[in-house]
Amino acid sequence: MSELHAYALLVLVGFLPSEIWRVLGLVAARGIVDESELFMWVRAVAIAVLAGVIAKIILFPPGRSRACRW
Amino acid sequence: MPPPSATDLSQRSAIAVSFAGFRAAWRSVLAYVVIGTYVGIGALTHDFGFGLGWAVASTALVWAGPAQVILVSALGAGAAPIETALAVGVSSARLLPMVISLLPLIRRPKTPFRALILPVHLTAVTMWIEALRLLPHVPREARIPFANGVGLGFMSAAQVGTLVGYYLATSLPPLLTAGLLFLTPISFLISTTRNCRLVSDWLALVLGLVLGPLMAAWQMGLDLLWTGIVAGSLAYGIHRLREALK
Repeated sequence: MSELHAYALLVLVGFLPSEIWRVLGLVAARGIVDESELFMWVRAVAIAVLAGVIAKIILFPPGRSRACRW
Repeated sequence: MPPPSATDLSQRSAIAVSFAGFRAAWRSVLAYVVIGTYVGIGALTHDFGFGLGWAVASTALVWAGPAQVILVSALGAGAAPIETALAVGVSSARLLPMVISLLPLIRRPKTPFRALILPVHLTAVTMWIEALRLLPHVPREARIPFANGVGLGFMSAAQVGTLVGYYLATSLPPLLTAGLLFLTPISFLISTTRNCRLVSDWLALVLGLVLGPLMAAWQMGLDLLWTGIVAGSLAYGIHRLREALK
């Protein structure tokens, strides 16, 4: 893999698929005020996602099980 | 660490406030957890034959540990780029609710879009945990530079880890790297517990811990996002019901 090719892959396959979620979040957060009901729901969702990540890493350490891409 | 005092921060310049955030990140135990995690990632990046510049750029651009592990191991093992992109995308879906729940805390009615680009890019589990804990004590006008400082603080810790791991790749015992990786979930769990204030926060944490592995075992794809939506909505619903019954 050439140097340039590796950096192109980094941007296209690593950076963009991660960044898209952050940008979507930026768009979706428009109009949400903190302490609002919607904010409390999203906060609960975010905490639950993180709890799910934690439980998965503990129960299925990465690399051992194909079922769990963390 | 005690939260910075509000009157103190509102009178300081953006750079000084960012620096306060930067220091807050380094005073958090999570900075050291990040170093440990990224020592593992740096070593992995080295082992799969990527350059040091690439490793550093990957930490700065991707800025999500699990995504970087997938990226390096999949590309290094010769996986198709589109498959790798999908796997990275699935693993980073957790960033969406984090960004949505962070923004209302830092944004003001007149905040320009461009001022949000950096804090949004810097959003990762560590930054989100500490920002949620510390931002309520920071005056609203200082929150964006403070959050940027926290994010850059953790990213600098990650870069230290990346460099150390990359250079020590050949001499690190595998057991140590495995131990470091186990430190990450435990410290995330403790920090999140510390952040739970509302009943819905606690319920979301417990339900997520239970549902996460169940959804993963079910192998339905995007299991973490479903865990979040189902457990988060249940937690919020129960909280609303309790409030209504009061």
